[in-house]
Amino acid sequence: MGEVSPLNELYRRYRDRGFEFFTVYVREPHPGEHYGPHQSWEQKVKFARDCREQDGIETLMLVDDIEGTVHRSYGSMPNMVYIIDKNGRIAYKAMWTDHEEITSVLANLVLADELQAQGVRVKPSYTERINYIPAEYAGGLREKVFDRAGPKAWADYQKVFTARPK
Amino acid sequence: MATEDVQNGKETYNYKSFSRSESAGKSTEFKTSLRAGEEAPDFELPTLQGDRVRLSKFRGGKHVLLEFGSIT
Repeated sequence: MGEVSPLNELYRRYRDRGFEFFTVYVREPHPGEHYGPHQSWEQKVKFARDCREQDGIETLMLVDDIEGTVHRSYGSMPNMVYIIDKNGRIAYKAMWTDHEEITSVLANLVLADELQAQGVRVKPSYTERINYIPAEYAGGLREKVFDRAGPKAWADYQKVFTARPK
Repeated sequence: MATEDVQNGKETYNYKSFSRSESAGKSTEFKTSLRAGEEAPDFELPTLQGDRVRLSKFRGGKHVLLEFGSIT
């Protein structure tokens, strides 16, 4: 509370440098008593509003349809991220959002724009990498997610992974 | 798309319980579905204010970052 989230910070820094940021609200991956599976469009929109408010999201929020058409066409991960360049091509995609990684991609796109403005031709250097991140929810995120979802979500999660003390 | 629609219809997409198959099944789908350098699939989605945003509208103008998210 009170702090600027990493994505909001990037949004503030890059929105006037040729970028649009969107948060796409998709299905609830850990449904529980408080936030269960979406049952209607109206409910999904309400949850999307709650999500934006609870996380203090500053970007525009887009709401995917109830069948998850856009979510599924981009690969169905709950917190994936894509950066699409101004030619409509995928410049970067990652299974999980990592703000440090995103920062370097945004900086590279700005650099490419600057080079081109100077008349320097750029070419795409295709890159693949694995980025290591904590396997478990780090910081207070696990509590945040499961407290918001309800006890059922935590029980289901424990069934899938080894039970760990909360 | 037809086969995928059967497997991922409305009922299973909005599943009631997080399960092992959910946790395991998506990473391959993610890795194989789209690649860097390819054209991003176009879409049009509503904002919370009810305006509609079409991805291809930004082509030739702006770079776009899409973060996917939820409450839980």
